[in-house]
Formats: sequence, structure tokens, C-alpha cells
Amino acid sequence: MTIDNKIIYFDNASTTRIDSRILATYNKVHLEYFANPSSIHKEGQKSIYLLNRTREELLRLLNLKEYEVIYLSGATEANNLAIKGAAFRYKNRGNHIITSIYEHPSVLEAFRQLEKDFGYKVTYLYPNKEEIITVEEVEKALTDKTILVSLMAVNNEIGAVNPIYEISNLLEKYPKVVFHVDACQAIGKVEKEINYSKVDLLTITGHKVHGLVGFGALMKKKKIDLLPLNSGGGQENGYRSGTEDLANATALVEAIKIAINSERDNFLHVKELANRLVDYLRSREDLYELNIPTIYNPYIINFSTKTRKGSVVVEALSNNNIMVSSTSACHSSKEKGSYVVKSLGKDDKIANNTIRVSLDYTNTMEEMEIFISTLERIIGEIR
Amino acid sequence: MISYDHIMVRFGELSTKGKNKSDFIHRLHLNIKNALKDFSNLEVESRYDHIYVHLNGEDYEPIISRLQDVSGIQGLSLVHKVDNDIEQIKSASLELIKLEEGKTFKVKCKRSNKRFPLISDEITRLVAPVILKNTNLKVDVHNPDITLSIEVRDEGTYIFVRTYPGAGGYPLGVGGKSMHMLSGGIDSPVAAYLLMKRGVKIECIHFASPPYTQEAVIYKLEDLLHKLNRYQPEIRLNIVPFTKIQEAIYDNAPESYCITLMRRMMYRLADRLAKRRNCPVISSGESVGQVASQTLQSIHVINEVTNMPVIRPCAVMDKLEIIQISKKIDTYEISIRPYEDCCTIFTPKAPKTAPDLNEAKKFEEKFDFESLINDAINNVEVKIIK
Repeated sequence: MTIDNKIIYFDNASTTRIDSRILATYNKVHLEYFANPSSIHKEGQKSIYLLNRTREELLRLLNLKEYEVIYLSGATEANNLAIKGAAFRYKNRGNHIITSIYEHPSVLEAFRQLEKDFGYKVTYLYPNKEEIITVEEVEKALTDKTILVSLMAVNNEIGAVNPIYEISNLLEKYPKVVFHVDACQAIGKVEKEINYSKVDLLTITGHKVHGLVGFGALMKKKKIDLLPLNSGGGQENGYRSGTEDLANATALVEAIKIAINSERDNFLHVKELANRLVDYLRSREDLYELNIPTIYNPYIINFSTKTRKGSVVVEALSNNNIMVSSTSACHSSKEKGSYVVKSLGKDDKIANNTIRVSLDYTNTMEEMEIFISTLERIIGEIR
Repeated sequence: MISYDHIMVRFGELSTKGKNKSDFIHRLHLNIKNALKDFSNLEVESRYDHIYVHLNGEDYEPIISRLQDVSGIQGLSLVHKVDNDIEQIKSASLELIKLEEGKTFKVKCKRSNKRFPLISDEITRLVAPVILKNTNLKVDVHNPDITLSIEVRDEGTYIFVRTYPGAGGYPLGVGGKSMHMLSGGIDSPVAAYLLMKRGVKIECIHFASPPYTQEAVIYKLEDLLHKLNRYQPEIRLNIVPFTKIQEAIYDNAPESYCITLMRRMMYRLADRLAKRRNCPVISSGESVGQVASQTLQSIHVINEVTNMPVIRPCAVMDKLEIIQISKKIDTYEISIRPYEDCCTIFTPKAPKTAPDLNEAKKFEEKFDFESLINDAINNVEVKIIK
């Protein structure tokens, strides 16, 4: 499927186009369930009933038991609440916290703030050759002062899939340690849904799977407590005050449901597209260097241009109606070079010229062929 | 309570311009009307030595602030108008001065209406005692906190206390039009502002080299020009496709000469477009010595391609001075947005700071730049920013 029949959108890790079914749900709920779920009148009760149903449904879809759902404004807020909320709540147990060097800025900057302004000791783990954070690395970093580990399930720039279940098994033996996982790029986009049942805090969002931007959820194990960052009316069990957004909650659940129900089919389709692209990139080692692991995630293909400036290639592709990213859209205009690719031990020349192609089930092989031929033409044309 | 009902606009250097004066006033009148077109109740009236804005009930503060951006105005005064009657003059003077804060005052009087029975000095001596008797203010003729001015004219007497500085310069348009090279950096919008302030209208020329420059740069230029719309309400932006020329230079000249040749091509294009658009001059934000292409030797080699005058208002300003002005005119934050423009992407590691004219010409002979220039000029994209 192309947008406007002419734009090829290969930037799905930044955000995805809204699915009209999900938008319809959003509109319908907005119109029909407009009363505040915290009101005690009949209409308010109708709203709270639906809101509670969305929570149950979400937990069922993700196979989570003994959890509660905290709705909030998106993954950035969810990550901040998880990390700061846990670090502040459990500071009496210790002041050591662990994350990885290639996290999303909403995690990395939260850790840096805790380190710089609140005196926490932070260990930043590095990915191994296969671009993942291993169980062994996590185990080595643990101390008796460790209270929090935060890792992403799938990296947003290079697609590496971390062994979350294995790490959660390890951390189960350390009951003092809270384990937070940012699963934004993973939900509905892996070969087999990751088992999150031993994860304490889980960040999810809808806009990476054709839902609405500006909404997300933090799934919290009931036994874990957090220091709320918002003071107010005590909504979301006191963890996130602010009037509940029922329409968005319903839309989020629908987006996750559609994504998980077609996860396997989508994966196989995207894998075909990715294989075609990776085969091409490998056939031109003179022009490109792949920044993905041997067993790569087909949703995110990251490579660097060896002979041309990556940002110029991205601009030229854009002028040819093909949308890709140079680094993650969250920081591509601010800094030069990808810190994620640098964390793999690659040199500046490679890190400064990265291109991220992030695919989706809506993309087609025809689009991939156009992309490959356009890319090759551009590399030949520009200086 | 007494209120201000008019703004008196004093001209800048216009008073020295002899027979052109009425043209200048006419232009300023139009520019003021244009700047104040959002205020429907106002009337603008031109007289020989002032322009009056009649407020007709409008709040004066936003109007003063708009007028302070109009070039060709030396100063603005809020005035209260009374009949040519000494009793009215005395009571209005007292009421107006009561609105001010301060300890000392002085009364100044000017009488252009020679039929008024009292001379200036007599008026002053009648008004000052009223103020002394009814307030705690003391007279200080040398360094007063408050200066009350009285101007007796044919149509009535104008009394004013509050005076605001204007932008100075000449009314926009009386200085003609310049083809201004706009890159999007800090200097070129400042240069544009200085030209406008001097009464020179501008039209902009920008060189776009997609994909080496980002499309987003055009949004940045539009934002910059919107800021400059305060001084020139409508600005034409000519976007010249520059990619092919840039590539040809890159293919035919050593890296160290690329910038020199690029600037020479840009001036050729500016020259062609200026002639086509009836601009007698070219202008730019270049500042002597700031970068390799702006050393005197570079400017010499680059300027050689045109015999049109090139005005460089920032030529001898320090970067800090330029930044200061860009902050004042609110373009700084836009200028520092990190896009790649044509000046940053082909930047060689060691550009020539002292290029040789003959060398530059020799590299240019290696390709048919004339036809590339013709192509570029024929494919200019135009945007009107207002």
C-alpha cells in the first residue's frame, strides 16, 4: 500500500500511518462515551466500565497476570515514570541502577538525570557482537545495591532483539531489583511474541502499530510500587493523575490487538521484503556496510553508505518520495552520527552515514524494488 | 480623565532632502498606513513637517510598537490636542504631567502659528506656574525628569510628554530595490534589515542544491522573511536550482577552489536575476574575513564576475555585533537551526583564502557554465512572503 499512491513510507519505526479502523473506534468512543470515567452518574459509570474492559483486554493480549495498566501520554512518559518512579520509591534499598548505552533517549536521559542530579550510580551496558545485551553482562553488573534494570526489547535504530525473557529469569532471583522493559518496537513486530510475564514494568505505545500518537501505557506488576511523577486527582490508582482518556485507551487496545493477531503473517511478509533488501546491500559491499546482527530483525534494517553522505542520500530519497531516516527521528536533527551505531564499536565515518529503513506489513515488494533501484541511481548521481 | 488621542510622527533624515521631501513623505505615509492596516479606526494625516496618526479611540501601545519598526521615522510622540486657547493649554498641560512619574520638569514651547497672541516664552511662563502650584514637581531646565512640549500650530495646539525613538533611516522604497543574497544564516537577514532600514527594498535570491541542501531550509527562509515582514510587508523570494552547477564545479575544479567558483557562479546568477528584476544593486551578508570566501582577496576574485554594485552592510561588523542585531530583530533563533545549507556541505578541508583570479578562470573554462546558468535562471521558483 502506498500513501497518496506515490509516497513510499519506510520510516515505520518513527511512527506509522493511522489505521482507519482504529481512528473509527477512537471517534466512536469519543462521541458515545464522553462522560468522565470518574463521575458517579450513569454515563460516567458507562465510561468506567469500558475503561476497565480495555485494561483487562490489554493484559489478556499481552498475557500478563497480576498486573495493572497505567495509561499515560506515551512511551516517553511511561519510561520516565517507570525509571524515576522506581528509583525514587526504592532508594532506601540501594542507589545502583543499570541500563544499556543504546537505549532510546527517554530512557537514557532519565538515567543521566538520576545520575547527575540525584546521585544514583549508573552502569551502562554495551551490546555484544550480535548487538544484544546478554544475560551474562546483566549478571556481571548486578551488585547488592542494584534496584533497577531498564532495557529495551527491540532497539529502535538497529532492530536488535534482546533476550528479555532470559534476563527476566535471571532477575527473578534478585527480588530487590525492578526490571523495566521498553517494548515499543517489539509489540506485534517480532517472530514470536516475547514472554514478558516476569518483567515488572513494561512500556507500550500504539503509534508504532498504526494507532494514535500521544498515548501509551505502562504495565506494572501489582507488587511493584512507584513514586508518582504527577500529583493530582489520583487517577490510574494514583500513579498518573489526569482525566482518563477513554477513546485513546480503546484505540490503543485495538491497535495492539490488530498487531498481535496478525503478528506472524506480518512478520513473514516483512521478512521477505527485508531479505530482498539485505541481499542487495550485501551484494554491494563496496557501497554499503550493514549495521544489523547476523540474525536480523526484518522490521529495522540499518546500513551505512560508504561513498556518499548518509544525510544527503536520505534527502535525495525524500525528494524521490521515499521516506527513510538517517538516525532515529527523535534526535536526527540534533546531533551528528548515531550513538547506537557507535556503541557497536563502529567508527565515526560509519556512524555518521547511517540509513534506517523501517518496514511494516503495509509495505510491498514493488515498493522495495523501487527503493533499491532509486537508491542505486541516487548513489550513482550524487557526489 | 485626560487621554492621548494622536501620535505625532517625526521624520528622520528627510528634513535634509530638499525637493524630494514630498515624495519621501508620501512614501512614508503609505508605509505607515500599510503597517497599521490592522487597526481600522485610525486615520493617517500628512503635514509638511509631521505625520499624524489619529487614534480615534484605539489603544496606542501596539500602534507605537508597530511604528517603531517603520523605517524613516526619527521619533514618535503621544500627543493631546486642544484648541489654540491658553486656558485649555494650561489645564491640559497640568493633567498630562500629572500622569507622569518624576521629581523635576521643564516646559518647552514652539509657536509656528504666528497669529497666536502669545509668544513661546510667554506661554511657557504661563504654564509652568500652574504645574508648580498644583503638583510637587520642581523646575529643572538642564536635566528634567519630565519634558512637557507645547506646539502651537494653525489647526490647534499639540501637547506631549512621552516620546519614543523610531527606527531611523529612510522610508522603505525611496532607496530603490536590491537583489539580496539570502542563505539562511545569521548574517544575511541582518544585512537585509539594515538595507530596509536605510529605505532599500529587497528581493531575495537563494541557491538550493537538493539533495545536498535540505528542503526544510526553505521553511527556515520563510520563517526568517516573516520576521523581516515587519520592516517590509511583502518580500519576493527567488529560489535558484543550483545542484547542477555545484556538481559541475565539484567535477572540474580542485576542492580548494570549489567555494570560490561557487560564489562566482552565485554572483553571476544574482547579476542576471537583478537585471531581469530591475534591481540596480546586489547585496549580501558577507563580512570581511569571516570565512575563507570573505577575505579581501576572495571578495576581489568573486566580485570580478559582476560590474553591478554590491552592498555588504555587515562588511566591517564584528560577528558579535551582527548577532546582537539578529537577536534584536528576532531572526537569531531561526538562523541557528541546524540545517545543511549550500555553504556547509561542499566545504573543503582547506579552502583557498587567497585564490588567484586567473586560476579560477582557468577552472571555469573547463565546463560550459553559461548554459547551466541559463538553465538555472529559467527554472527559478518564486515565493511571495507576506
